[in-house]
Amino acid sequence: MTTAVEAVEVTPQGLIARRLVLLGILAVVLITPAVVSAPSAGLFAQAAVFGIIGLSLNVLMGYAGQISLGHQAFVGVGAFAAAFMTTDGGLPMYVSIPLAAVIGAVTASLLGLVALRIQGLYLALITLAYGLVAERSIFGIQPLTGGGAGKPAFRPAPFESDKIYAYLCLAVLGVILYLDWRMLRTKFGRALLALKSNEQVAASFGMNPVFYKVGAFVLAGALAGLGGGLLAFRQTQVVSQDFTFSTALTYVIMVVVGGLGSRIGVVIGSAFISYLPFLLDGFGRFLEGATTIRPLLWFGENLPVLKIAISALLLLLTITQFPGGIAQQLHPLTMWLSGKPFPKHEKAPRHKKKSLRKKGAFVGTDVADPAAGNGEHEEDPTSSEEG
Amino acid sequence: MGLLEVHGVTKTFGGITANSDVTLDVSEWEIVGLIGPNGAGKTTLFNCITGVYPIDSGVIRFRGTDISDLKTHERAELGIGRSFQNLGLVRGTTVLQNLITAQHMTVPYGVMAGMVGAPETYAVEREVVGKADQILNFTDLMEYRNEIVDDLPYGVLKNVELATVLATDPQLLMLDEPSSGLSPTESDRLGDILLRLREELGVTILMIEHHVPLVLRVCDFVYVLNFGTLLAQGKPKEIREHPEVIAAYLGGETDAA
Amino acid sequence: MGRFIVSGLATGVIYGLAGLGLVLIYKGTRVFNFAQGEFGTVAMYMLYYVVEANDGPYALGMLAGLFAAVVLALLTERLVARPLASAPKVIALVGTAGFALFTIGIELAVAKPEPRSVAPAISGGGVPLFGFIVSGQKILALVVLVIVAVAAGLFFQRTYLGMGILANSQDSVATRIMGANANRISQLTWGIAGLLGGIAGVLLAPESTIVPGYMTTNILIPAFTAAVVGGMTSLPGAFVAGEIIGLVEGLGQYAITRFPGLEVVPEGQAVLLFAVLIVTLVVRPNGLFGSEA
Repeated sequence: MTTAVEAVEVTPQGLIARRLVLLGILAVVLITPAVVSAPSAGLFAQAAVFGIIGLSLNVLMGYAGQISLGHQAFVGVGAFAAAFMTTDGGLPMYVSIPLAAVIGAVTASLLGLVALRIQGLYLALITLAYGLVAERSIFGIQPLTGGGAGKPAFRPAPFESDKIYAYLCLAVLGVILYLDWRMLRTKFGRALLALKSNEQVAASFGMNPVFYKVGAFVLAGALAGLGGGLLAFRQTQVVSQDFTFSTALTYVIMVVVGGLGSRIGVVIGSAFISYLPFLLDGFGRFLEGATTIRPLLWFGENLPVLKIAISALLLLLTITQFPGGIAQQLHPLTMWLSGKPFPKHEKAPRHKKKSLRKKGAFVGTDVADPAAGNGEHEEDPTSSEEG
Repeated sequence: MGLLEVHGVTKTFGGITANSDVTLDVSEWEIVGLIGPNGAGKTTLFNCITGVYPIDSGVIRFRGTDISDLKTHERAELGIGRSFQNLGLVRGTTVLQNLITAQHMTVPYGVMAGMVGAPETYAVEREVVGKADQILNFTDLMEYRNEIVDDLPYGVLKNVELATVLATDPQLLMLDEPSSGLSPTESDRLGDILLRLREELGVTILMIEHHVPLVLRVCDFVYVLNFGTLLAQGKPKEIREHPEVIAAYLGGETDAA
Repeated sequence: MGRFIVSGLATGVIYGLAGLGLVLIYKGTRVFNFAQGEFGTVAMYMLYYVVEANDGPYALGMLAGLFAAVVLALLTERLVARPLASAPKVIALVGTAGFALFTIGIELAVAKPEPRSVAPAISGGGVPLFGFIVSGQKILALVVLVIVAVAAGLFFQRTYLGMGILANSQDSVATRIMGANANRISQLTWGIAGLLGGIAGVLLAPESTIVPGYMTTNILIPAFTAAVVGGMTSLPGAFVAGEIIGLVEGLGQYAITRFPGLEVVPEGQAVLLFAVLIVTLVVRPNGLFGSEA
């Protein structure tokens, strides 16, 4: 969520402490690619790209209240487009990656137009179906994507160094974090949040729902295409198996586990999911060395394979137990870092909401009401009247 | 010529007639009440005027221009602001943020300028906060400025919503049961605010209201809807004495009067 | 072309039955169940483990498959649907999708990504049709699936218990008057949906190359399309729509063979079904047979 503009007295020492901690975190992030091995820098680049993809999905799910279960299709379109433009079209990388963002925006805007008519559960279904169609059909078009073998995307000098490429990805992530921050504090972001809360209310503020809804898809598509382009050159080979149903849900997991609507939470969640196979691999090898108990050994051996099950479990745990995700858990810390007193006790929002929300004191029910979302907007006058 | 003219408006929902041939007029600087028993079609009429529902027949004019075919946000841009029977607030954000969000139409820069953080946007944002603070002062809500709206009691939120609608800078303020959930003292204070609004800001008000003392005190003119049709109209005192109105209220169960 | 129509109608039976399971859960609990496909995949794997990996009796394998599917459905109800009953419906949907992914993840770890195959329940009995042989297994599968679909339809629309289950979402007071416990009914709904998925799974297994997530990748979206075209709340509608979807798909495949240029897009029929889904939702949001929104 956004932070309130608030005047709080902070002692000079407190301010210095906060600045130091922030600088420390920033320094660690900035130095890491330089000092680690090349493969680790590659992992770092991937984490940064996942952060971009997470922020892209967060625009839809966290800010605009839309859903995309086919986000891998937008990312894949960007990745294949970038690879095709460079490998077959001879365009330099720094041209094809921005163009991938444009192509991502265009394809996503089409789905945005669909979202004007179809909402809630049915939109979720459409996005999921779109993702599967993209994976099985569009990404299999031999001349464009190289079919099963995939499409190469080689980096030009000086980016063939994983370290330098990691810095490029980090820089792009930084720019997008800035844009995301400005967006949420200005016109566009406020309109998205209003639209998510209630479309009628947003329209009564003079916001054009069509413009902002499609706008959210365009922005998300551009970021996804950009992430896809960066991903293509990170992997140097784009294959359609990288953009499956599991991938789509992995993106949802990054955002939900990170904390819907929280940009820092989403980036942390994305990086975490990106690093998860690596972490599990390490933990698995540790178990193999440390124990002789057979079930534990099996578990250790299979940990890397279990990464999908484990991330799915994280998703289920988050939505049923900790809807705020990582961001909720980190809230006291982020509050403190942004210059406010350390909150002593945070009430975690659960699905069992306060009586006010349960009574439906606010206009409209949840965004996901299928009845409200499926065309028939005209309510029965007896129910829209003084109930 | 009135500020708002509703002429012969009919709205049906699959065979059920919610509004039938409704005609009413709101002149500039007036405070007009719209009353009627539950299910009389008052909120439906509000939704027709603001463009939530397209009307079946009739015409709606604002400052003499036919607005019947305009979208909700286009009508808002002309100066029609409204509150909702259930709260029309942006959930999960603070009172201040709601007032800032509501100033959408007066924010001149484009969405891209805001996103890239163009220099002129910062000055605009400061102005927007300043105006929000003025309204919070005016409506006596300064103490709730930085509270998340989801955490506030209903009575306070009704006033926050009024402040939010004011932030849209309306010429016509349409309020859907502004006093619901307020205590008698609170609704007294609401009456003060409404009268001051007209006095100091020159706002015209059309309000759905059940609370009779409030209607008697602030309204210049009252329209009565029953079963979707106009039953009576007149000065509040006349309406109170009107036999058909009394019958309508006694016939249908009501929490009013 | 006749060949494509017959194979389309045959596939349509599977879509229809899976669609039936989706509609059942939607009617009963207002949840879009994205885990429905995996009920079938798990049944396939159980059959494989009993029959192929351990040389067990075929009947036992089928029973184990059905049992696994029902258990998985009940787990989905208990671990996802019930805790999220008061959450926004899209969250519940994400929950069932997450549960499907969890199941796929377990399948990957236990059964490995390699494709598996299972022997048919009956060998031989093939019937020549349009120049190719329809296997006995396929005929058996179709006959059983149609019987199951009809039986399910009769159960829910003609029997007291069946109607009571569907009444759950529409009128919980009526359900309570009937003396039924809401949780029980929810379990029963999910259990039956699991059973339907399991039946489809064990019958399809010999015809399929079983990989983790098989039914989610191949059946779930056509089944949802069938459910949507059928109106999302109509059991016979879903089944009939399943046939329509199968037919459209078969004709799409036929078109691809006739116009070789179309082969550039692999599985072009999936694109066609996607178009059907969008057009249905935009033009007739209540489907062809749906009455309530």
